[in-house]
Amino acid sequence: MKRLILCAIIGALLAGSSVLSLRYMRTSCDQLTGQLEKVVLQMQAGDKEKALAYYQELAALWEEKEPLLELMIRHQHLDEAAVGIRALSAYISHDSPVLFFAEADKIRFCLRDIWEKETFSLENLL
Amino acid sequence: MAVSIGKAIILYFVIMISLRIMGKRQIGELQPTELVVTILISNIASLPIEDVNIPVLGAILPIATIVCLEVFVSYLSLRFRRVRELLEGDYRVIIQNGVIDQKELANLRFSLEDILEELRAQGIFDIRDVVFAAVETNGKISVYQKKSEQPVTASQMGIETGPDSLFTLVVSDGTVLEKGMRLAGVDQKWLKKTLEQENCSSVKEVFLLTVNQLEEYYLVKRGTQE
Repeated sequence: MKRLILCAIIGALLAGSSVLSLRYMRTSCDQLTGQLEKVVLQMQAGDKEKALAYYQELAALWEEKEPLLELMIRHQHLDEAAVGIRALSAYISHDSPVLFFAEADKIRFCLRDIWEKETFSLENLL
Repeated sequence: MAVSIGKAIILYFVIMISLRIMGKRQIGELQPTELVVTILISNIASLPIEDVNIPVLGAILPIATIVCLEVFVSYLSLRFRRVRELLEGDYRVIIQNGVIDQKELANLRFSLEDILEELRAQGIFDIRDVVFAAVETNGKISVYQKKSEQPVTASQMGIETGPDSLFTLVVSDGTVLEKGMRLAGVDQKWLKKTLEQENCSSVKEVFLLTVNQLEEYYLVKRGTQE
């Protein structure tokens, strides 16, 4: 009986933590995507300085979210997003809008993919 | 490399704890579900060790889930016979009153060679000596021999055997085992008296001490080569 109760508690913790972790992943990715859109808008408007400022915020937000995300997600997926985010700085500074927008698109996809793969759906289960 | 070693250490303890939570059934004879669980857990645990990209939680969480499921399912098996039959099956009789049930053998996909091998492993070399044999849910064969072929017991010979009493371990490599002392019905006073009789100044000098309820004991001192 003791084992059953222990397993019931562990089971409840597992269920709770999976819901919370998915919520954290989704929220983090949404925040990062939102910040990325701000950078993209400034680049579209041609304001390099503001784009760089928003980029600094994006980089800081990534630094904040990455450690916890690394506990939950394959590091490879996070590395793809991390490399992309770092590359944006060079594209903004060296005035390479084509490369910037291509990279931004890639990052957008990576961020969506990160939480989509963890969603409890039939597609992911099968 | 250090990461792989660290992950291996973490997962080693996770598996140990998981096996303890699942209980002694896991370590003894395995039922089919238990075999599946054991293989699954070992495979899952190896993933983060082999691939540094996979976080340790990527193994711990599935292992914890499987352990919980296993405990729930085994509890249901205990409470509901139907669940137990569904998951573990039931024993199947293959020899009854000395007659081999060939249909049952075919159902179980057991060959005659398999049966004979199992009988030989139990010291039975003539199938005619078997009255009853059943294949258990873990695949083992239980056999009941004809009375005329069974080893003679003391009661059959009318021999007085004296009281039954089990030897339990009370000191192991210098450490006193309280549980063993309780089982044997002895106390610290008896232990002290015994050590004095054996010229041991402390329990640390004792490698092995077993005793039964009649206070018959067997003591081996540390460093003794027999």
